[in-house]
Amino acid sequence: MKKLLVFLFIGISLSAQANLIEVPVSFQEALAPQDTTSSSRFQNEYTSAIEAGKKLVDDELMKCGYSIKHSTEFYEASDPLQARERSSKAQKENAWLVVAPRRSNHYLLSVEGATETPTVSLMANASKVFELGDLHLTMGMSNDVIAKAAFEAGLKELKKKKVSYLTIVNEDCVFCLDLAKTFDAQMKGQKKLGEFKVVSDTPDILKLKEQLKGLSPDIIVLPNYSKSSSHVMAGLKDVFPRAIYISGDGWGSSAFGYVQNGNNLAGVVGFSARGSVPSEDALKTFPVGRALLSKPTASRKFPASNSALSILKIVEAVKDLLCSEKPKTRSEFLAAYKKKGRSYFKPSWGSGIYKLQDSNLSFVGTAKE
Amino acid sequence: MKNRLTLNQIHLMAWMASAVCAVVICFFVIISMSYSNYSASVDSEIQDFKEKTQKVFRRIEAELAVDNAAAVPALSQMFEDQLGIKSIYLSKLLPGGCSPETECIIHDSGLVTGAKLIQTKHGSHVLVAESSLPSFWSEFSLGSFWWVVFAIALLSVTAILIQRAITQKYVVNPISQLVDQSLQNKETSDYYPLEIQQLADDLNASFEARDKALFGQLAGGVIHDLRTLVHSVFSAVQLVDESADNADRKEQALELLYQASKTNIPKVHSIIETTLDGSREITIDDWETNLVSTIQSAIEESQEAATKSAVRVLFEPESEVSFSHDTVQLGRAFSNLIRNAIEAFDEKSIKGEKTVRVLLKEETSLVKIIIEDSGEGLKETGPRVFRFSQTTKNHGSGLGLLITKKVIDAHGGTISAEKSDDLGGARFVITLSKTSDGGVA
Repeated sequence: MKKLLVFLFIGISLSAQANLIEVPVSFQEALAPQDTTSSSRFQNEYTSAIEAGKKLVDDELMKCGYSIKHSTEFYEASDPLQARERSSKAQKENAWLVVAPRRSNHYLLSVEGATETPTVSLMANASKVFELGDLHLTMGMSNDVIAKAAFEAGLKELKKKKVSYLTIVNEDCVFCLDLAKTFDAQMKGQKKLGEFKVVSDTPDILKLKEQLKGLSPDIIVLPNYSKSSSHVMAGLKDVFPRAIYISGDGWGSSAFGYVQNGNNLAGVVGFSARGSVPSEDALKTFPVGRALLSKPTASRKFPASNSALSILKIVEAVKDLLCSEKPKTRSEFLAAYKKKGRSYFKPSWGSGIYKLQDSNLSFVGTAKE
Repeated sequence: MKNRLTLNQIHLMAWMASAVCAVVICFFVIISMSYSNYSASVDSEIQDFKEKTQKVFRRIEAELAVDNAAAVPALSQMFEDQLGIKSIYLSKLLPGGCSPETECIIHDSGLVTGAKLIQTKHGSHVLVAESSLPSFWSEFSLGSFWWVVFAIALLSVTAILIQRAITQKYVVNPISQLVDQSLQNKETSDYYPLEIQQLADDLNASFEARDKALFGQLAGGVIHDLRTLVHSVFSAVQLVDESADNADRKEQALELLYQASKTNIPKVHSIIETTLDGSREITIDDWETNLVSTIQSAIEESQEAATKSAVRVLFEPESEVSFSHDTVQLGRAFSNLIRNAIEAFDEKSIKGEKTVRVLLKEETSLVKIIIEDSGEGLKETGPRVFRFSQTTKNHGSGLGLLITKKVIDAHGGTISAEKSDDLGGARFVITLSKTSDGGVA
């Protein structure tokens, strides 16, 4: 009898699973550089965030009649074209959703490769990203809020209302150029000493020093990604020992990036504003996050990073969209995404301000909208 | 003796020539090998360039795709510096030979160019990258070549020394021993190379033949002549013996003996002296006198034989030629040549006119005496004519031409034997210097 019940249960489960609609979701991310400890750690935490999210939503999804079938791809960030190639491939393979890279220029290329597929970026927030339409969304915060928050933190640190500033921006980064413009807009009325363009993750410091000779900025706007920013700060700290560096969320977090525990950043003070707050505070703001917090072991293991939070929120958003709109096919999902996606795929936490001091990025407060 | 090369000099020249050939060949081999390596190196550089441009083009295309053309110059500069590419730039047109569908790589005249047409929703761009290829001569190094030259030089020097020693042991020494052997009847050595052993055997055979010839000629010629002369004296002595009882007859016999002795003893003496002259140095007693007279005396001596053989001896000097010479010895030489010519007519039945012509030509520092005939000519010409060899005559020592040459040599002159173009027979040309120290080069 017991055996019969067991067989019945397995049979029902299997038949239930056999009726589940498989939702293929392609996760794609750039690693820079791909073969470092930092990137392998990021990779592990990225995949474990997906697994954790799926575990938390699987039961509910099954009840709704769905299961997520995900694939994960990582590629070298120095070859952005791969974002387009991989998303194009995912579209050909009929992925229902592409969870695209977090960098804005990579995301823009990803969208180009998958124009007929819903996409969402973990945190791209260049202004062009917000102009892509309802099919292509982002979990990132707008640059205006971020730029304003970072600037105000800098003013407070300097205890001044009027400052002079200069901008050092990576010319080969769309997000960085965009953020630089946003900082200019937010810092209107302040004295701009100049804008200096650099390229690559390791800009030419000697050339930069030559260009900056004779200048004495209070604030240096560094709206670039972490490796480039860390390299510039280390190179200029002796030239401008009293300057405050400010940025958006390109500097990475306390978990990842080259600014946290960066080489030779002792004495450097800066502020980074980003579309996230400390992990525990952020998890409390959405159901799956709270569910995770209720499992101490799982929440301890969960990576405390913006990317992991975004992944968890995205998995929840997929579950919510599927369970509420119940699309049977890819095209139905696409239509539902277009119509309702914005309400699901958005961060539930605010933006945070992080201070760089003694090579450590620490949360100092929440930015007001 | 003319200036001749020594064996060592010949060895040196041979090895130097070989070394030069080897160096030249090595140079071309090294050039070929270097070019082969250079070609492979260029192919590798082009492949490397292709990989680099792929990376560059993709990176720049990513910026163009997101409408960030402003980043292209800075990115191009960065890649030029990082990857060692000569220049990267946007162009309006694809280079000739490139297709718009694919990225192309073309190389020509030391420059490799990559180009790609990039089409984005923001527009079309042609991206070009260029790099220099090294030239063959900038890559070519003579380093290893100098080592080869050194090795060849070392080899050549070693080879010269070894070959010199080998030649000395296996060629020069054996030949030197052959000379000793010919004089002292020594055995050949065991280590004689095959060819030298062959030479030794041939030389021994020639020595034996020469010994036979010498004996034969002396026996057949000289001794025959001596016997004839001694016999006539002996006959006269016998006549005296037989006439011992008759005073008148004895006186007549004694007179006959005197005449025979007077005639024949000097001839015996002459034959003996001539034979001795074949083996000893001839000394000359020269004094300034008329050469024409010497020649005329020689002709007169042969006149009786010429008349007897109906041979015309012509001599028409244009003028007197006075110079220092030994009239007796030189007269002997001329006389021998004239007599040989006359006697040669007797040996053969020559049809037509029999002529022996003597010409005297005086030049600035030389005097030439030409004795030619209208006979059949010599069996051979050249220096061999004047060596001791089997004579064709029934009498005589066969030493005549040898001694004639010795007389001319003693005067510092030269004598040659050839065919007479004018008369068709033999022609002897004697050249004498008019200077006091003699010597004709």
